Amino acid sequence: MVNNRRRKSNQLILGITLAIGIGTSCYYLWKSLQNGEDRKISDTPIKDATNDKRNKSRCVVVTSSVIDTMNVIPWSQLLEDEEDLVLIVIPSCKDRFHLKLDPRFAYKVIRCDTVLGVWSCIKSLKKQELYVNLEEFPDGERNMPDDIPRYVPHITYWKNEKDILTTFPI
Amino acid sequence: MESTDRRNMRTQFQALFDTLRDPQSNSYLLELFASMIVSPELQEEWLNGGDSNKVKGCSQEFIDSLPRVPRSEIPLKESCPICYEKFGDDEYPLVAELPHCHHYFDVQCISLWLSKHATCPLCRDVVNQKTFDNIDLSKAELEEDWGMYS
Amino acid sequence: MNSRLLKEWTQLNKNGNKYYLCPIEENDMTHWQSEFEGPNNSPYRGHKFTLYLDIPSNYPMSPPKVRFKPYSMPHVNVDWKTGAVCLDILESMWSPIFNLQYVVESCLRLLTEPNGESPLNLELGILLRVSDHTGYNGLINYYLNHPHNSLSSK
Repeated sequence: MVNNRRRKSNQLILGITLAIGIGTSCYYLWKSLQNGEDRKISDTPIKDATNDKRNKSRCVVVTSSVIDTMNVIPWSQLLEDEEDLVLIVIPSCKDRFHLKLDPRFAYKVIRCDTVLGVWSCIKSLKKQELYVNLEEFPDGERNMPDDIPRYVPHITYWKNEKDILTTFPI
Repeated sequence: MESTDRRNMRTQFQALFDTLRDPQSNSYLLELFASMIVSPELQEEWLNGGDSNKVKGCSQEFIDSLPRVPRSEIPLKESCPICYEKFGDDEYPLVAELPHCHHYFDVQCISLWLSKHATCPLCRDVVNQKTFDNIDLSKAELEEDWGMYS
Repeated sequence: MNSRLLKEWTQLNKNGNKYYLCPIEENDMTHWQSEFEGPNNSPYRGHKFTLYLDIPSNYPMSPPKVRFKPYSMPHVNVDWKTGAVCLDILESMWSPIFNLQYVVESCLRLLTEPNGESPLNLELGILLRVSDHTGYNGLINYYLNHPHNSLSSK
């Protein structure tokens, strides 16, 4: 008697779980079909900044196209507003990326003398998201080390200024 | 799990760990398994504890034979570098002199240190090395003639 | 060897205890702490640090176990999460003539002279090894200034 009842309740739980699972999958499928045309071919859809800034954990690698957005994207403001945003500047941009930044937030911009240093900082910081334009790295150093995905779960490969503006719409 | 069970299990694990550490053992998989189960901190503790069998100290014989500084020569105002107590604070100070570097310590203090180590606490000189002070030079002249000049 | 500790404690109080070395609780001489500021010629200047020292029962025959406060010291030879310090005088190069003040001074010296050969913080170790001074200082500065709660979960 007891066994029967237990078996029935197990089946009920299993049934509910399956239903939820199927329902969720259908929702995401529908959502992705909706956004299909606007998506870039990347590992993660490029998110916009309208999501709650507080919970984000982001690392942006500053290369020349990011510098080109300096007059358009309010980086200083972003660094003040978003608690867990860090910018890592590649060596060739070290002296070109100067922000008028409140000294309290200046620590959020890390400049490096070497590309290896850039990757080491990224690994150390372990943010949830990484935004990087590999093509703007120096010749011969355009490959991302294989183990970076172990340290950062979501990586977005920017190709141009437009991608940056999609992530950080003005 | 009761604490006695846990303790027994830990003792057994430690014993297993010790056997696997033996370079003669070739059960690599078991070693890997043990190292995955046992936390790194505990492993380190066992490794350090285990090494007490392979002490790098001096023999008791050597320690007992350390030259004693005669009472009259003990610098009573100076302190033992190990316990920081003045030699003269003791009614019957027992002070040893390390044979090679000649540094002074309380006998008790240096004996304890040398039971696990073989270097002078002050200068890291190896204490039980053989010195050249005792070579009998009188015999050297006799052996000079090796027949090379015949 | 408790008398040795007592002697040290007396000496510290007499000579102006510049690293604020003291037992954490009045009657317990086995757990000490020290507080000091980062040296001026280091990326740690302007920041205060706390060091914990656990004294073994056979001290000074064995060295104290030393660690920084967890999640507070970004350093090549310090484990960020546990604060554990990798320093030769705390292991193979320990001597019973050393005292707690010397231990603290040695840790302080580490801040200006990190040892690239035994890194506990791998990424900082790499930055040091490839002489990426800007990155090295920048990453340390980040950890020193970023609110700890978001970093302690890593």
